[in-house]
This record gives sequence, C-alpha cells and structure tokens, in this order.
Amino acid sequence: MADMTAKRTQWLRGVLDLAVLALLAESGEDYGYALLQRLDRAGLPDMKAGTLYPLLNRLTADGLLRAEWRAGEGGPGRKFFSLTDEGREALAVQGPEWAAFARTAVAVVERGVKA
Amino acid sequence: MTVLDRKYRDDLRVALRLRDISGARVGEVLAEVEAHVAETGEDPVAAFGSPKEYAAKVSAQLDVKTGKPSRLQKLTGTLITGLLTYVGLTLLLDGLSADRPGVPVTPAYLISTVVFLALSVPAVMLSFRAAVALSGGRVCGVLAACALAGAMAVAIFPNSLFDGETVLFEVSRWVAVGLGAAAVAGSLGLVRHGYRHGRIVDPR
Repeated sequence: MADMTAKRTQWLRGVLDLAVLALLAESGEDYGYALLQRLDRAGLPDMKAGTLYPLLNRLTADGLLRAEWRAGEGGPGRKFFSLTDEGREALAVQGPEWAAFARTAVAVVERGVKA
Repeated sequence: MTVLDRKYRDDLRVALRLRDISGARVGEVLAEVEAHVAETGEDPVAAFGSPKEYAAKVSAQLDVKTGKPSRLQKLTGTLITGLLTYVGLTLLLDGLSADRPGVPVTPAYLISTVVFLALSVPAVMLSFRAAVALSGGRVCGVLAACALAGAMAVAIFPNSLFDGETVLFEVSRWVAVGLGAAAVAGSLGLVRHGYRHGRIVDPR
C-alpha cells in the first residue's frame, strides 16, 4: 500500500502544475492548505505541503500565478494565489494537450490490463 | 493556533541561508510554514520534511530571478572576497611592520596567494556543501578541512614553502598600506552586501 501511495504521488507530480491552475481557475483564488484539501477531495490525495508550496512559488515566479498575503482572523495570515492572464492562457493551451495525452495513456494501460 | 516549533524554524532558516537563498525568499518560506502549521496543527516534519530536506526542495524550484545566485556567481563572489582579504591583509600587515621604505614582493608571496585561493575557495564551497548535503556530507566536510588546513599552512609559512629570498620588485610601504587598506575595505563591502542580501524580511 505504501508503494501504491508513493506511485500515486509520483503520478500526481506530473500533472500537479495543471491541477493547481485548474483549481484556481474554478475558484478564482485560494491559499495553500485549502488547495491541499481540494486536491484531496478531488481524488488526488497524499500531496504534502512540502511539495505544494515550492510549486506554488515557482508558478508565481514564472508569472502564471499572483500571490498576496492577507491578515488572518487571530492567525498568522494566509498567502492567497490567483491566476494571471498568462496562467489562464497556459491552462487553456496545456490543459487539452494533457487531457489528450492522459486518454492515450489510459487506453494503452487498459489494453494491457485486458490482454 | 499551533505555533511552529522554534528549533524547526531556526534549523530551516539556517538550511535555507546555507543554500544562499535571499533573505526575502527565506522570509517568505518561513512565513508559509508558520502559517500552515498554525492553521493545520500538523507536525512540520510530517508536512514539509526535515529542515534540510525542505530547504533542498525550495532551492530546487528557485533560480537567479527568484532569489538564488548561480554557481558561477557564488564562485566569483567567494574568489573575489578571498583575494581581496588575503592580498589586503598581507599588504597591510607587511606595510605596517616593514623596517625599511619598501615592501619586497617575492615569488613566495605570489605563489602563496594563488595556492591560498586555490585551496580556500574549494574549502568554503565544500563546507557549505557538507552543511546542506542530505547524504555524503562527511566526505565533503573532511575534504573541506584538508583544503582549509593547506590554505592556512600556505598563509602562515609562505617563505618556508616557496622561494622567499628572490625579490621581484619592491612596493613603497605606504603604497602597500594604502592598497592593503583599500582591498580590506573592498572585502568588508562585499561581506556587508552579502549580509544585506541575506537579511530576512517577513512578508506579512
């Protein structure tokens, strides 16, 4: 089971950039912990904060996201992320490409499983 | 609200600084970890990994534009700082302690300068690598210690190791003092610049 968890984490890394862009396109904006929860609820579990936060900052540095700290209610504040126009464009271009790639991969694996 | 363990915070700060990540970026990372732990109550090691591991992950996602100098920049900075410090201190001390109007420049001085830099720069780079390495750090540490010992030997006994008799030319003692002081000031300026670059800023 531990092996399968590690496998899923490995698969998720390949699509995490796009998954984060897609989640932010849906919600408009969100912060790190909420994105982890949403990934989990979407059926993409086992993602660690230590993987997501550096990725969010890289997407921000690449100009695909914008980040803003906001004061929390009695807490230490939250860093909210939202898509830039460049991020929206990247999702529009890469999203369908990835979906087509995934369909092909699924078809290959399913043929092998049924064989 | 859970407060981030002070030891984890301090260790992460040091691990990030040892990777030469800018103070602004270090502040950003520390704030993110603090905010996450405060909200979730998670153990920081479970959520982010050990400070060394997380610093390695953060560093892997950064480049020059996001607060991490290139390898060439680090090498050049270390080399220039080492050169200014060594040449500055030797000229300054030789000039101040000279009992005649000129300070002799010998092959020993020139060769020891080159050898000192050739040993001390790798010693510094290996020390940083030993401190941040997730594995194999001990080998780097031993190599760094050997290089440092060699550099110190060259700096302390240049005339015993190389030709200290032949005088290539002489520099007026006050010119030596002036050049030495300028070089030391330059190296202090570089250290000050590095300190300012590393000052941690909380983004919140």
